[in-house]
Amino acid sequence: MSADVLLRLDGISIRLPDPHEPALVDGVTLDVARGECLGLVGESGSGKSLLLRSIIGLVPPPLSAAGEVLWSDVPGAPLLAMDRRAARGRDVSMIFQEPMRSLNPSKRVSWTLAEPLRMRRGLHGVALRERIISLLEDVGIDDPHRIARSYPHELSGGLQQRVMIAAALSTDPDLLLCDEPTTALDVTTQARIIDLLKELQRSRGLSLVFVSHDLAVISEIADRVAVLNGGTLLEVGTAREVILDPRHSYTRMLVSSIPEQLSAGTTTDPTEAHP
Amino acid sequence: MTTTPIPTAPSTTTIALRRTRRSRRGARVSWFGVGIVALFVLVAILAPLLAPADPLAQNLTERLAPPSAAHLLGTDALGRDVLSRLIFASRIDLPLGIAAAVISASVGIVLGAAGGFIGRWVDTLLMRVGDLVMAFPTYVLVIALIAIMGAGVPAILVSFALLGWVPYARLLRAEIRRVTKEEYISAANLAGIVRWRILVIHVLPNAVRPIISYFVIDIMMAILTLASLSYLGLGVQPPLAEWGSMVAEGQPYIQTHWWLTGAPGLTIALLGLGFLLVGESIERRLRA
Amino acid sequence: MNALLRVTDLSVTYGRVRRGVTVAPTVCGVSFELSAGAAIGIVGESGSGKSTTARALVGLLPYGGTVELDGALLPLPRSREQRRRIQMVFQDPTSSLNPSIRCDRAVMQVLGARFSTAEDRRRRAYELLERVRLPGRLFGAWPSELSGGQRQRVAIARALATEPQVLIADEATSALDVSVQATILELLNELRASTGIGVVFISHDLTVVRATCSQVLVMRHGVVVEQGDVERVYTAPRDEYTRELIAAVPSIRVLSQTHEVDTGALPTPPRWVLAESA
Repeated sequence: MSADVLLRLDGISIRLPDPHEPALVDGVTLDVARGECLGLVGESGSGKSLLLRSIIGLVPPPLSAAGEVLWSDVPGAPLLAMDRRAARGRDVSMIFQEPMRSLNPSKRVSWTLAEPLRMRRGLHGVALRERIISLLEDVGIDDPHRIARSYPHELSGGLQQRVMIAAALSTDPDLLLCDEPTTALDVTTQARIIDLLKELQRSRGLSLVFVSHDLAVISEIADRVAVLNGGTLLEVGTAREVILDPRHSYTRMLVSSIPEQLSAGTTTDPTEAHP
Repeated sequence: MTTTPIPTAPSTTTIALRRTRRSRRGARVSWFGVGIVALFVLVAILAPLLAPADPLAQNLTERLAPPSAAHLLGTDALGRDVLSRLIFASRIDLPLGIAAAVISASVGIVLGAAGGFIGRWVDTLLMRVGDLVMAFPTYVLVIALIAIMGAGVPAILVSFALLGWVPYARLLRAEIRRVTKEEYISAANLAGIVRWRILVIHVLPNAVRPIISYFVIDIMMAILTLASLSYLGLGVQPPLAEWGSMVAEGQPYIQTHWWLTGAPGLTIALLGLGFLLVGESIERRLRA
Repeated sequence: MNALLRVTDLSVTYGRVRRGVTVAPTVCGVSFELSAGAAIGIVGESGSGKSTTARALVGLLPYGGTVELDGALLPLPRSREQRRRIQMVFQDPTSSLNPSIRCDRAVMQVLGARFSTAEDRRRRAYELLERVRLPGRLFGAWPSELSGGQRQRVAIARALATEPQVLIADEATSALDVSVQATILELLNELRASTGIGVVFISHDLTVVRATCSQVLVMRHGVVVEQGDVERVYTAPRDEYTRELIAAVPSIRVLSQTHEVDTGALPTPPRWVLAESA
């Protein structure tokens, strides 16, 4: 096994303060290779979002996280303990389900994008403006100047999501964490955002951890898939392996429940029986 | 075109926190607060048995006596036993406070329901009248009323009816509007349930909740108002014992006989604390 | 052939009608027929007008055009009895049930005059709750004690209590986990087969509609851009927008189409499965 591992989660457990309560995430160990997209699949209560947040230390109190998160700085570098707070926004960025929540509604898009660039890259004036425009272009926005001047509420859900992705990419991270970023979007917008993320993965060698409850979406974007249930990791493999040939009974149940599988010859229209 | 958020199943964190919060929180209300209020109610009911002396009995030879075995809190300027007056005052402040809050709540609920259910111009009219009432300094209006009706309890109760209804009306109206949009109301409508039944059985029970905690705290505010007015001489008239007027009576002697003012003041504070704790614990419970 | 539900030229316009001002209708020209025991889907993105259509069908919104149930025209406003014949199951499990009423009572309240005694009503309510496969111990529970899927079951039981001829599911499974959704869909199919109830299924999820309905209407900006047999529309769409919509739907089938180039480029760790106890 010689995958160039970028991130390793080693025995991550997330618990409530009460020791009698079952763990919300129980001893999960996962690797993310450089340049790959790892899909985290599970239903509600599986702990997938919590696991994602533990990578950058965003586990909300009173919950506490245990276990190690290891990071490899450059290709070939050994895996070392990651300073999660420092990595936030620098090596690792995150995008969320509802872009309106992470975009400051009283600030124009340009301000939201400018802030981290000013602080982390020390950009000002013309250089800053140009970088903002180029970021917006990178995420497929056709009219970057107009969008930069706009407020979040003036934009459609898809555009808001693109802006959030642009903000996440502004510091050139190696890893992008995605917490159900397309769940609240229309199906056509969702397809375009998925295409955008795949393109970014390909062109920048960006690694992704993509959380979703939707197996179809995961199929479109993930290279490898990890299945979670009740905080426990059940199965890991390539997307094709896990989804088309599931081994764990839970995964099999999950795959057979998706509507695509349901329609395979089971729709009954009683009126068809009698003329 | 903005996307309307599609509600999704709650997250692991939400489910877990909700479960622990439910199991950890044993009490619905602050038992300490309930205890304080219950104590006062008991004192008010049992006043004749608990008070060592007649609150109105004057003894001019024993004026301003310091605390002793016979008079645990001493005597006031007219030789009356302070402790007995303190105990009997609960028979005035507590029932009046509750009555005043009930009157405000009743008027407020009726008007708020009218605004919330009927809507349109009725609602607008009520809200603007409410704005007017709230804009006026309360005590100026009360004093004006007293000037018309004369000092004493009736004037106070009328002023609460006229002025205290606004928060109730606003709260109820807002809640009615929120609840009416909920899907179970549409479902009730579709099931063919008559409009008034929907309002009474489905809307009201869910809309009234935030008012309950406000009501409890309002009792405290009513007692404070009553005490303040009596302190100013506009409320309960002498020789009746009332905490606020006791504070005023003890004021000239505050440097030597601080307890004449301190005792009734602390009593008001303690009762107020009790109501506040109960009201806030109800509020927290509802929000959880 | 007599359709159970016949909708002709349904249109909905929001806002008060003012003289001299023409407001574009929010929904316009919706027509379809639904047979007993059949299911028809209405799909579209946000703002397409599908929810508005649903609410108009049920009589919660004023509309133009006609809605005929069992051959009889449904007037506006609807009488109490007429309202009960088309029921709706809503999207949000948290607001679909009155939080201050227990589940069994919620169903009992809605039963018809046919069930006169309290005993009758309780028995019928329990029958319905069993029908939707709610665990018996939860019959007397408060809504807050139930999961999303369980709440939707109670909502369906409550809708069935009026013995409706048509059930409209407005994104009824959208907020549920996929496995729970599968069981609710199965329940709806079973109800159609056993009671002959007709279902109108509103969803943004095209795969759900394909799994349950025989016919589909595709809506966009308040108008129907395509309608017909579900398989035909999905495999050979005629409208440009419909084609775009269907092409955008993600599918696990994409996995069987991609070639193995990827795994060559990224050597991956071996497959791992948690051992299951017997």
